[in-house]
Amino acid sequence: MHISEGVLSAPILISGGAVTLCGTIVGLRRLDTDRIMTVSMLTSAFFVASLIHVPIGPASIHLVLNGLLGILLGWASFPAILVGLLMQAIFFQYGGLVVLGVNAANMAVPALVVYYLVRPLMKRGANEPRFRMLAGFIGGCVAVLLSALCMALSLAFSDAGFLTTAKITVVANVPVMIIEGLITMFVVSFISRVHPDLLMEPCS
Amino acid sequence: MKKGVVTIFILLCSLLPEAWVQAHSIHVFAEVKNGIVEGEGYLSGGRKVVNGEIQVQNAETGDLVFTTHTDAQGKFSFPIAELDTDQAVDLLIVLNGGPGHRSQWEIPADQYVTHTPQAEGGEKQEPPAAHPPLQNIIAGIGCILAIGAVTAFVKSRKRGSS
Repeated sequence: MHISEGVLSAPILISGGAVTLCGTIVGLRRLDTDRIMTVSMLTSAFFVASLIHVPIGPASIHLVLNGLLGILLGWASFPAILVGLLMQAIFFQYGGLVVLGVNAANMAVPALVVYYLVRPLMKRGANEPRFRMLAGFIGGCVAVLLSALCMALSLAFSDAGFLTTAKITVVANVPVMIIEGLITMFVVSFISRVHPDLLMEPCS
Repeated sequence: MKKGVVTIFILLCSLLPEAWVQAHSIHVFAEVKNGIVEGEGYLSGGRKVVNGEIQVQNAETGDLVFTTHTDAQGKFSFPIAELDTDQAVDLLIVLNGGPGHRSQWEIPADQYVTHTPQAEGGEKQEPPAAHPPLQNIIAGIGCILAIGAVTAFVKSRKRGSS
């Protein structure tokens, strides 16, 4: 899911950086001080999740967890994903610093879309837990799908075109979509039982 | 609140059995042996890049001088004599391993002109590690928590002053 250095053109890098910057500013402004450690913990989870490699298919694919971050953090998923990716670039050499803005936008925008997409289901799930499980599964799946499409869109301007790239990235990430959907579903279901307030009040 | 946060963290960390902990980024490594460039492409976690496109470029001008692909073991090799260059130039080996995945490795001209860099006293280049070391993971988590603490400090000061 990380785009390497030297692949994208300058306009894409600048556009991605601008989107990430705006999202991060809004995310930080709306961030509740009392929830910052929750955001840090989820950022750490996002940071290490990329090490969980799913050995299916020809490509190397890994967990992203941006759907979980979107559901739990809302707008705060922008700064969380930005910091997580920055640490991955520094300590694991994933992606890179120049391409950081685009990679962050590719993962944080879907997280935010998922937040608004599953919010009605989460509210409905306050009385019926199965709706929250459904919301978790949809959130995990859709976030990875949208990230793969965003990645294909970023590459479309400097690669083989959107459709070809989208087919490759989406097909390669189908196993991750299912796995992330299941993981997000179980995590959301577990949190709704032990600490439902985390789901009712997003961090931003 | 604290209980919930710790629960999430433990739950997610429990998903990390050692055998599963493999990284994801792409690497290419190449060296010159007796006039032949030999190398391999691999993903973090050790998986080989099969049929990845290898482009050999002039490191200064970026001109493409040779193209090949990695085999089923992720390896590639080609004789220096096959390169489309008139003079000894620094070479850039670029591996394209699928959408958005790219890595490069530079071979200075003196490596393949002399063929034996170690005999000349040059340092032997090591391929990059396939797995990030544990201390990098811990350091990354430490940095994230530190950034969180600084953000909390700044926001609480702002709240206090207003």
